[in-house]
Amino acid sequence: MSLTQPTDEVDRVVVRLPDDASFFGGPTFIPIAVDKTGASSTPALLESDAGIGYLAEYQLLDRLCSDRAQRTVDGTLLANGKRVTPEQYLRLWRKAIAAAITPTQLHAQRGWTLMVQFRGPLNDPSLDNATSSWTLCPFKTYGAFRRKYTPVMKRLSEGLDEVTLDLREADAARDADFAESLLTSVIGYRGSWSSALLLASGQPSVEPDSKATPYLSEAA
Amino acid sequence: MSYRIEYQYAAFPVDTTHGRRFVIAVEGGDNNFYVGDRRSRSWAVCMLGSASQVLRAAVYYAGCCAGGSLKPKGRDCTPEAYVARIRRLVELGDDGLHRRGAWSPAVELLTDHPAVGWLRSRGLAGVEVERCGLRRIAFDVPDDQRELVFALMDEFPSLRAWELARVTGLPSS
Repeated sequence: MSLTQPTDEVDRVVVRLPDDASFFGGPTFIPIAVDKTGASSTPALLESDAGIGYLAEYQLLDRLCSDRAQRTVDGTLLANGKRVTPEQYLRLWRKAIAAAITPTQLHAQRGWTLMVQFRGPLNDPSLDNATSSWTLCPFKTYGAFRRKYTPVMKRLSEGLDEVTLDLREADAARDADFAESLLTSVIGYRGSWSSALLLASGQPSVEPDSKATPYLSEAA
Repeated sequence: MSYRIEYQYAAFPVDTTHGRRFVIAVEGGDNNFYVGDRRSRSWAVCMLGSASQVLRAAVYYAGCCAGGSLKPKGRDCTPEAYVARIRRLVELGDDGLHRRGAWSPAVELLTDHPAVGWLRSRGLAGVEVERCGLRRIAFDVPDDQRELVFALMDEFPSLRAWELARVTGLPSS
């Protein structure tokens, strides 16, 4: 018998991004599990390996199998207060995938905002000529991305900038995915920059930091 | 795309002092690796432990079915169907096939794994071997101490079943 309190997953929401959001093409998703803790329910992004990590359907199921679905076996994860088999649990998520909503609907229905946040030397013109290795990239060079998002870029300190893309905005999900790829080819893997998927409460804004409260998971 | 095909399954129920445990052996192989004109395949212990431990492992591997990198009988399979397949093996308790073979402890651990010290503290001596370029310690577990492999799985859940046991004598498909 487990000595720890089981997690009670009382709801699950899947957000479907536009088909062009990932350079792999096809539908991609962001899964959100709502866990009950005491009297309150807390939504959380399912953990990601690294970066912003939009998931194809098979990746989402694989992610569930690598953690939460396993925990249903010994009851350390419940669904709506009840023990379920892994098979039943996966079917609950399949229903959520079939009923996936857009980031705009997520905000309208739940008041939650999905955002992608980048931090690093984002406003460095010396990076402008770098190109993406993806032919579908909407930005011919890093400079094109930098210029598009300069108006909402925030200087945190010398050489450290932050830009936050609200996924309800047109092309934001696509731009974020390609920007992550651009930054990888421009700066390299991690270290001096980071990207994170955030789930936030509060009103959307061009400056999410000032009004929204990133209170949840960060898949960084 | 390369994927693993699983051809046959055998469940060895083992009644221990801590209840019923299972050794689940799977005959499998890569879809694009042939010996002659036949796909290569072999038996290996893939899951081991209590019913819960086996099912947790089954769920872990079931994730590979979602992306098509694991195909029982060479056919697409949902994760749910894969878990149900292993569940039936465990619940049935006697698939008949296991009677044609045998399982035995075959413990080989990475040299720096904490289970190495755990086994040595119980008086087992290990010898260093090399597998696929990795240095491992192989332990000779006496038959009257075969339950140790289940204790190891309890103590170190991240161990993989094929690090702990082997099967012999099972028929090839």
